[in-house]
Amino acid sequence: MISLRNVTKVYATGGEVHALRGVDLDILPGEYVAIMGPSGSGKSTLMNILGCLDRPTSGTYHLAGDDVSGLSDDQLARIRNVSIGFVFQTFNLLARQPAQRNVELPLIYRGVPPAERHRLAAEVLDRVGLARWAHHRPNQLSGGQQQRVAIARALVGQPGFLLADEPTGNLDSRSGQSIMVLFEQLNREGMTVLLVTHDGRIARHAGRILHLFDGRLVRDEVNSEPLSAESEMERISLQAQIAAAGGVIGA
Amino acid sequence: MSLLEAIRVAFEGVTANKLRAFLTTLGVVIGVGAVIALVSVSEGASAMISSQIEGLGTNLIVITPNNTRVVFTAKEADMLADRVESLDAVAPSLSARAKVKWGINNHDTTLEGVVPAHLDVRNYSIAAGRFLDAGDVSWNRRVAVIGHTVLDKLFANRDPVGQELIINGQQFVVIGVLAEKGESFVQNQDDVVLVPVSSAQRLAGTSNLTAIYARLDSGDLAPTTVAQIRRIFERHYGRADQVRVQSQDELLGTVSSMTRTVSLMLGAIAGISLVVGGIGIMNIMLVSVTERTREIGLRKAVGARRADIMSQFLIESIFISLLGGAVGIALGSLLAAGVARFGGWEQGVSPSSVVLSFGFAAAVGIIFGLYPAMRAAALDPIKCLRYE
Repeated sequence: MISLRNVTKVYATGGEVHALRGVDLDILPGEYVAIMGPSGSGKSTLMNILGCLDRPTSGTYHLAGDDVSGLSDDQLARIRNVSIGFVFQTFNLLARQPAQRNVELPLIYRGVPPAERHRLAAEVLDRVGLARWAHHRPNQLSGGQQQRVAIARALVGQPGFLLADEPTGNLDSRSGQSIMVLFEQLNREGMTVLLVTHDGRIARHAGRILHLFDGRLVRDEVNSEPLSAESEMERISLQAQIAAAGGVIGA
Repeated sequence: MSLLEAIRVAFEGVTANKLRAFLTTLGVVIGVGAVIALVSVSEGASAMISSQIEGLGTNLIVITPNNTRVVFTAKEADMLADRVESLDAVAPSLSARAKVKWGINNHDTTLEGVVPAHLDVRNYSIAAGRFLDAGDVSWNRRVAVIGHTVLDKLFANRDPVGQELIINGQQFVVIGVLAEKGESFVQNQDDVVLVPVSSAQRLAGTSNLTAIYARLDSGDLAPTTVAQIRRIFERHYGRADQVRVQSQDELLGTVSSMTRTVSLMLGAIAGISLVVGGIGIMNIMLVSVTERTREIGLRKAVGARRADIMSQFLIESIFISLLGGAVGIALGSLLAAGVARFGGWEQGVSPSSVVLSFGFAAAVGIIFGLYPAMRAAALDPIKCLRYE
């Protein structure tokens, strides 16, 4: 699915910054991969290249067999539209548009006719459990619900993989965990999921953890016993109950 | 992305900030309003003035002294009548301000000493009684024909024919009333008392005339006849430019050059406000691009191409300026209607001026929206998504 060969990225702004120093990486369809690393490790740069938002300075990137490392901006836009589903830390929903219209956005740029668009958007909104909220605007939704809308938007175009950048970063642990449950379900159904995070506990949900340091892939770890998002969810609600009980006892 | 979808996206952008969109349109509103109003007003005014000039008399030539040293007498009038064959009639005239009185009613008006030909030459007609005849002129009779305004002011609704009228202290008898002619751009042609030219000269203690009116056989002869009359007077006075000879065509020409000047001036004002309005649109579009940096980043991330972003912002600015154009057309038409009512002419906004100003508005939207749209399209999605 994804194949990087000796990918480097050098930024020329204010002296040369080597953000990536030769990364080789293969990701197979259906994998659940977490990319970890401290800030400045090249994590964001790698994510931008994987997401076809940026081009490597050297090396090649094959996505579903096609070399995408030398494409033009508009060609990359097309690849992003068709092959990649983005989930951002800050959701990035259009504030004035209802959930349904936000979800339809990738299909609008693909030129899908309105009726078809509405049907597909309604389908994925139902899939993420927001069928009832289709006509609410983002400010009428909770953070967790907003991130679900964003995931629906990422899924609606049936992309090759999901690329999630700190998807739980702006959420409380409970709604963050519900998002992780959703990713786990999607992965179980065959969706390739790439998770970019600095949170080790979040990363341990993935079946494979890549550690990035100083622009190099320093460790490619197979996580044979990934955390189950559902049991994590139970653990968190148990903690919450204990805390609530403690509050009652304290009073 | 289809055009319809692009328009919808742009429309969402405009409606997101209605007050701002409205304020932004004001410059275009004023510019387009000015175009509409000026075209309508200048067309209406020049049509009215033209019809008034034509109403002065068909194929009229007016000869007046060009400076105070030149005086006309009956001699000059006779000279023209004798020598210029293309003239159908010659009507010498002496006009002055006069105070007229009937009973206790007073009125200040224009007293004109005229000859019988005056009626035809100046396109008057008689509403009651009779006009002056040759006998009135040769016997210096104290008879008067009054215009409609004088009838209103002095006699209210009574029949004036046969009544005694005091003109500058002298007794005259009213023998007729002129039919209403309406206001001309120079004077109220109904506010007049016509008496025999000989009586007027005696009243004023002079043998001078103030103008000679003449009527041509045919309008085609105007240029050659005017030239001929100029030559005759040049020889008569020994030098050129002592008299002013104007045909109706020339008066019409003067009016149209006048209205052209006014149109040009107003056009310049309209042009300036359209440019100012355009700069306003550009300014707001640049602000809007900056404000929506993250949105642009997101749209690009999910697959918007450069052209998609560009068309979104360009259509938005065109939409704003066309909105301004539409409001401007409405306001301009209202203004034109108001001015037309005040000026007393037919009001009409020509379809061509609507099309023209709508075109101007669209052009402003394109020209001033292009740069912000290009800037938006060229933005880097990574930087946009990180933009705070």
